[in-house]
Amino acid sequence: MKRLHPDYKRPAIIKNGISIPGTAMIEIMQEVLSRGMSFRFRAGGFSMAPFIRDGDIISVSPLSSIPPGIGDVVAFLHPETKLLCIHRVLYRNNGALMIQGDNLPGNPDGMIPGEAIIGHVTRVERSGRSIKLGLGPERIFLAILSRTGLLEVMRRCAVPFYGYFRRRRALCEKS
Amino acid sequence: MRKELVSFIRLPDFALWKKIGDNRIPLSFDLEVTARCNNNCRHCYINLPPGNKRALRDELTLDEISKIADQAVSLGTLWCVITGGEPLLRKDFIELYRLLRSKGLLVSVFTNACLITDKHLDLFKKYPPRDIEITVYGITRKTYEKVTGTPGSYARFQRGIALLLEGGIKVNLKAMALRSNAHELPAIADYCRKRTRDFFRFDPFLNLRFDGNEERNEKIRAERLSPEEITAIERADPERSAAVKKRCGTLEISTPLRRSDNRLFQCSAGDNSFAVSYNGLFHPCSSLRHRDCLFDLRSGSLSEAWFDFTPRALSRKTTSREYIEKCRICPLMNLCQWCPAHAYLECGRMDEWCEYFCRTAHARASAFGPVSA
Amino acid sequence: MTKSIGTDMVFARSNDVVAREIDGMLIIVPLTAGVGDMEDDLFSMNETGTAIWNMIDGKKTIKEIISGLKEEFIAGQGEITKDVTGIVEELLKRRMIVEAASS
Repeated sequence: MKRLHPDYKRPAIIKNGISIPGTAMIEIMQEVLSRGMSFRFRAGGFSMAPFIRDGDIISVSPLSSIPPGIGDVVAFLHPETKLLCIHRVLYRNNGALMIQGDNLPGNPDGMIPGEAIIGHVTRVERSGRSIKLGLGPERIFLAILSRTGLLEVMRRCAVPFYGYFRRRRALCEKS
Repeated sequence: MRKELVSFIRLPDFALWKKIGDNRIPLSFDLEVTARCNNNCRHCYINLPPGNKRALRDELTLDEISKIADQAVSLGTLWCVITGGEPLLRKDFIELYRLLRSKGLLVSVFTNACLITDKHLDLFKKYPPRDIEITVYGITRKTYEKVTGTPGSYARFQRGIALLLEGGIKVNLKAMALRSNAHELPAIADYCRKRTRDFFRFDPFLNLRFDGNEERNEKIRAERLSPEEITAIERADPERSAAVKKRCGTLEISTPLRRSDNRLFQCSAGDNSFAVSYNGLFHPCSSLRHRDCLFDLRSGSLSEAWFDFTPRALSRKTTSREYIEKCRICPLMNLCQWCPAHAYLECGRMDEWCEYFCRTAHARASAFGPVSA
Repeated sequence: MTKSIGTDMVFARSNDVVAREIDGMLIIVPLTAGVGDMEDDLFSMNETGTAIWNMIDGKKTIKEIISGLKEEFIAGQGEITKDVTGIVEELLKRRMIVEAASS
């Protein structure tokens, strides 16, 4: 049977560290971060589309002395589901953070205690290029839009043009 | 101009990992190749004497192991942890290790290092293990041998570990926090941190015996540190302390969803790994020893055990009021060692509340957490 | 500069690796020390790479692999030739394949 692939990609060898399911993965990430280095991995899921897409390579960096603020995209261990999530901070309250995925309107992660935050996303790469949108100063604006529900309105308007706005579950990985 | 042909994804390749998570592929398994050990550690949940006839008789043969590994590989297993007892006590260890490697498995070995010889070193150099994990019971002869109960074991341990380290083998060191070595723990931690490949960890939680031997259980209980001592050493260790604190931050929120759910197994047992004991029994998780959760691989296939038996065994529900009212809704669940497997070892029932676990969890919460329980 | 790859050369997978397919994904597990770089445990390949790997069977010549690939993918001859020899060089360098006795 002949199968034609219209999109030829250059052949590539991918070197992997072993993928370990379970808390080991989170521990490794925490360990890397605790040594002051950033942790780079391939994201799966749609909850942060279109700013982070399924398959993007994201880098999580250790938290600096300044706690994460409004609009920052952070990696955290969800207290209830124990899943690793990469979502955006909408606002802060008494050391806890209200966090929600850009593509999960009306479905916030809840007030997440500061201790559950593992690091913040400092870089997103797609097809070898660094993606800036969503991590720069506009992040504060995005957080406000997300909080007021306006991001969802914009998303709806954009649906005909943008397949990636489909609402799919979570940039959450099982832990 | 041309992009690199080789791309490097540091650590887990999430795409594969996620796929595996969705499809319930047994990515890894623990293979307990013997219950026998050259040492006689006071705290051990499994060890039998090197010449124990029954243990020898029941041990999986090389051929049986080969068949199990073949089945595992066909189900997608990538990683095998050879454990025991002391794996090197098996006369066919070298063959066994090469066999597993040749099937395309990454292999880790848990050993006390006492029996390492040049032959093993050559083997590990030629066919590198994923890692060799060694528990350091003490860093003085007195302490080490008090734990192992075996004269001469400290010298053998030192020799083995030196061989591995000089040979450049990936070695990970860890420790158990016991009554017999608690005074030396900071020095043990220091010793390990200076030599270990990845990061050092210690474990203060001792399982009771898999074989239920009450005389040995008494010794294990005597080796256990008190909840207060455990929290004290956890607090003294900055890394460990940070990890426990992180868990404390996630306490209260876990309550509401748990109330209505009376499934006993809420963990990841049977999702991506399993264990095989020395006598060929399949366990969804290595500590899970309840007879209803075991499947004999000598009379059935791994695929039956994985696809048919495991989901059935783990769908168990409980009606135990004590457990539902005390443990299920407990906000300290994250800090507690309680799980059905541990409860069974501790109290003989998988849905029983266990005082020792409970006290430890509360001690950790009051030492680390903002939450008062 | 390594030895250049001729189109009539034949390569086979090395005994130093085991290739596995897990959930449709090619995983190459090095068996002996020194395959690839030091710290790596596993290798994988993208779709095009996997197609090439599957054709490295100790029988097919590079020329045949190139034409096999052309049947599966839409791409120019020049590009495919360059990529196939590139990846074969890379695999050879990592000892994941060996040159087979030419038939």
